Amino acid sequence: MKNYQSVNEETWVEILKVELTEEQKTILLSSDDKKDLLSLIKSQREGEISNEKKNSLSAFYNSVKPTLKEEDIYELISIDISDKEDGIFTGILNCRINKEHIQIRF
Amino acid sequence: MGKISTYTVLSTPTLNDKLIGTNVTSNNETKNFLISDILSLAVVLGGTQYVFVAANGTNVQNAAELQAAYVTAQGMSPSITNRITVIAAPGNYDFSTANFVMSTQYIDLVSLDGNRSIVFNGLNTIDITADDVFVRGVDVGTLTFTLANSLNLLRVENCQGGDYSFGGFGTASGVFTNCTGGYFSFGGQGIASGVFTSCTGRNESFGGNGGTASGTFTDCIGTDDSFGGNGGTASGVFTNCTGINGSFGGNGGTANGTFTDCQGGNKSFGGFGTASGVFTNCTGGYFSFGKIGILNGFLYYCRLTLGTFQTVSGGGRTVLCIDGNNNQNNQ
Repeated sequence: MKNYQSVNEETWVEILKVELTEEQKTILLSSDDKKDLLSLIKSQREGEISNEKKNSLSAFYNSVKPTLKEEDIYELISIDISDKEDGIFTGILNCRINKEHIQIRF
Repeated sequence: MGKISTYTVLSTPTLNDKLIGTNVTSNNETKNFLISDILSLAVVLGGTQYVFVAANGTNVQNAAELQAAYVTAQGMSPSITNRITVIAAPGNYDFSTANFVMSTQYIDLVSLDGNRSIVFNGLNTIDITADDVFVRGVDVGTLTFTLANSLNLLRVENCQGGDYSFGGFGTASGVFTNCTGGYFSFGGQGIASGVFTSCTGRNESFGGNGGTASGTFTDCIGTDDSFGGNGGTASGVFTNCTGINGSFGGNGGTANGTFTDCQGGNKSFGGFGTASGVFTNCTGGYFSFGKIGILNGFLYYCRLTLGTFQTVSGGGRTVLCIDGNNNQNNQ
């Protein structure tokens, strides 16, 4: 299963699962300085995706994006998509329409 | 030979002992019958859509009984219109050799009394891999309450687990009510996109520690770096939730969701990062609300317990807010 995210309708990233070693888990649970480890994890967490995949995700996003009236003000907060690799997307769309927070699960 | 009724020796039967009886299907012949075979004919308490686990044996026997009940349920043709519920009596269940795996949709597991009374006290835990499942009243202590990723239809109620429970390091996308986990629980360092009500986690829970909290959170409690904290993203809806330092997209993360009546500690709500969401009646500690970062969201009736508010940018606003010096802030 792969996870994808967009916060601006244009840029998509793959959210990668960072496998932690037992030693790293221990550090995270401890009160030690975790700054370097967290930076490393963060850098490993976001991956690039192909244009073909971007197009597929954008098309799906447009299919779940709420229908807007002409005067509506729409703001995407984030769309988080899980692809179970069987062609079925699941996840959640967080957005604001006229400043009201809307959540759409799919 | 004396009458049986006057026979003086009493002994405890075993499953391998035999009783004498009549086989009515074989010309009424007198035959020996194993006690184990007789017991297997007994009617197990159950109905068309439920199987009961009495849990009246040892801890290991209770676990075996629960496992057998689950197998029985699997054979009852579970479907969306024929849900099967395994009802387990209060007791200890020692899964000593393998996890109790719930791999079939439409089979639910609930405790008889509704409490967290299905207590896993062995070396192994519960492992839910099927999607449309309801589980209530399971306590695995400090073991990990294990879920497969993205079980959107999963519902978990009044359960308890240890560190990494309920989708820790993965995706928690079901409905979780009144559950308690340890560190990295509820999509900790992963994605918490489900519906969480009255749940409690420890540090790095609820998409914390660089993860994503994109779901719906009501009356939930985390500690440090929870709710998309410590560099993560808090993009969901948060109502009456409590985190501590670095929570709610804090410590370099992004708080772009909607936050109402929430409380964080130092560097929370996009502290050192970006606070671009809507915050109403929230309280943060030192360096909160995009301090040393970007505050372009909307703050209504919010409070800092220490320090001053970041200067807003973009179309951001602060309305009737109070800083750590008890000065009102309106930008």
